[in-house]
Amino acid sequence: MARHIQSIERAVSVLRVLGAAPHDLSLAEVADSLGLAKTTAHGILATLRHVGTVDQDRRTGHYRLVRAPDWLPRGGLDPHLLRSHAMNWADSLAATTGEAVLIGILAERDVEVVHHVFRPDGSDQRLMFGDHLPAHATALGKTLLAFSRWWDLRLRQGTLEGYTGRTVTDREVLRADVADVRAAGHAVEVGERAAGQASIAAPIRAFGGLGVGAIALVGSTDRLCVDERTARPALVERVVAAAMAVSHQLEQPR
Amino acid sequence: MTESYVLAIDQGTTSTRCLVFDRAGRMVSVTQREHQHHYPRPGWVEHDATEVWRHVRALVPRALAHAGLSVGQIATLGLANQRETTLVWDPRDGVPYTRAITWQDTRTADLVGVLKSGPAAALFADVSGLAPEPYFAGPRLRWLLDHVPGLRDRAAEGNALFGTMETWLIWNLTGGPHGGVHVTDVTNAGRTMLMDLRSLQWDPRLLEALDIPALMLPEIRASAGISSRCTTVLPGVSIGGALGDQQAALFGQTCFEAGEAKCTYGTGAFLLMNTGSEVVTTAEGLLPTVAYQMPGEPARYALEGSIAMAGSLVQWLRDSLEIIASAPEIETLARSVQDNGGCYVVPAFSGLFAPRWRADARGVIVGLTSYVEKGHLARAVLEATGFQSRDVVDALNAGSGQRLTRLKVDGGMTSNYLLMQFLADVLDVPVERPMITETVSLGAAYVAGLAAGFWADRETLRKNWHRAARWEPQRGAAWRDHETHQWSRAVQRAYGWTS
Repeated sequence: MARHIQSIERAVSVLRVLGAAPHDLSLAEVADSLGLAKTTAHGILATLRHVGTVDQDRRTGHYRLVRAPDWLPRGGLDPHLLRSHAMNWADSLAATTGEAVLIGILAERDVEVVHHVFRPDGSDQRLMFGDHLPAHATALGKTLLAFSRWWDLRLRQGTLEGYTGRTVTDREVLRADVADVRAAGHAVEVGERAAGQASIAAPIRAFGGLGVGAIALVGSTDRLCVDERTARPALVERVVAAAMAVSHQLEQPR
Repeated sequence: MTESYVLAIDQGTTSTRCLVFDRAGRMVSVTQREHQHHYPRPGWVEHDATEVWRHVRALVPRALAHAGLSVGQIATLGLANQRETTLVWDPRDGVPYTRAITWQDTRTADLVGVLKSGPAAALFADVSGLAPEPYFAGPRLRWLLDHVPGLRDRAAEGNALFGTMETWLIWNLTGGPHGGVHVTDVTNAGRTMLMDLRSLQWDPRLLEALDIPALMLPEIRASAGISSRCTTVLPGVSIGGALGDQQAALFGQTCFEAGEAKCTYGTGAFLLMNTGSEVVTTAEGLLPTVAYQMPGEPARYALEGSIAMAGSLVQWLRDSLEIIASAPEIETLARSVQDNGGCYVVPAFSGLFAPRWRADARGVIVGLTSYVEKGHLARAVLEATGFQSRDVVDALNAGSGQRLTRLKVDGGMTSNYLLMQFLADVLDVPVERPMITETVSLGAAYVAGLAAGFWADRETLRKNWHRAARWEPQRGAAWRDHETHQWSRAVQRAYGWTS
């Protein structure tokens, strides 16, 4: 087998990330999502710009594809395609944990729910589809903030509404929270959206590690958590495993 | 104590699957393998039964290994199978005389044409519940007897056994040439046109009408309690049950009582409603069929409405028109508009199935104006599956003495929320999706597990059924009446295209 040329592989990864992103990306976002040094990412972006495949916004300095080739998905992952790939894993997460499962994607200013599996206890539940959830007060939202790198773009203005005494309304605290989520690989929210309710979420990633959605377990604090801050480790493990299984499926060559 | 499990084999049209379920009805392992399709002539579709048997032998140990289980932990085995697929083999060596003729094969059309106009047509409908159609297994067996040299002689000697796929697998699992048990279950036997739907026995008059020697036929048993043990693959494990795949899905959805119904939305769609202990023959365009039979109990019956094109119409949009890149993306396109824009698609690509049964119909797209764009077309494509379901449900409600109050759904298209909401709206009943969508395998496991005493009773199984989602009707009667009226007019325009 011929040796692969690393710089070409990296250049294609950059194209895939730009193609998959729901918005223009900054140099830091491109470098971060591919685990590249900024200088390396900059060199690749500059070259791609030189040959006319990548465009840079004059005002923001952010990058985008000039025109997506047929083999690159444009504008992020189709939410319905995401659901169809995730459905079996979401069902099995709900069945094994006994809790409700949500899958969310980025919307303009918040999280849009694209899939909901009921809590398997026979109780009456309303299908949450197309519902919008606040990004700063849910595990889904914090995961998307951490792994989709849209923090600066979307939450720079506007106030962070407080829903309970525990909601994070301070931008700097939220920034630290999001950094923690990125380091941990999952998010836990306890009573920040509604008292007595908690959620655990992990990122669904595709195309070079870019977050395209998040999957969450939602339920009452006493079932999901060991104390006021900590989720049950076994549940966290299952959420992360489900998220990785979906991500793995999305990365399979078509 | 080692926890025990139930293993299910789903011998389907495209693949054979092997699944292991725990006591809570949760899937703990799944393996699958596709088999080859052979198309020797236009309209002919065959499977190699020896290839399928080879796959079963490979899949079962792999499924056990995935879950870290030994044969001793399997309480019982359940089988579900593609229905009406027909095979004849030599019991001396277990070699099939030909490849299996599948349910999609239309080679018996001429033979069936003769039967339909012949003196026995009414007899088939009265006794077996089935008016002659190329869809059923009996005419295929007759075709084999007519076309395989010497087969009629072999049959007379007892050296030719007929079976559908579950019969073939059970015979092999129980020893093949060395004492293999030659049996079928009531749901599969009921799709041959040869079984009396009420006595659940082969009917001599029907056998005579199709000129089929009784010596070739397997013994008919209840769906549960096949009561034979495997000698190979799962040595010592009892075969607790077998049934046709659509009946298995009905059971897996725990539709045990009269009036309960499920619809499986795949390439086509199959809607079955439990009608209790009654054979209902008054529902026009729907087939009365056996739902299941537990040992020592009378059979439970169902009405069945099959829709030829559901998911396959979406595939057509993807592969032939190239309007979408993947099937799920049709929902994005459909949501780009508010309604169908007056556009209706009637997917009668090879005629219309239940309840209209119009072989002379072909596909039409009507209501085109400059206003219509591809989003409207995408919506019309999805709505076609909803309208066809409505036609079947109307026939059910009119002829069964039951009224559908909710519909349980499964199959790949249940990931399409727009379609599920449309179904609830156009049927005016709630639509519910279960948490385990592997309802075919689950049904086979349930039937077998009940027979083996692994599960106590049907109530226990009901508790395993969990609602994963529910769509409530949101549209009013005026909208529904207008849309179904327009659909009916569109269907009229599809009629009589071939003559």
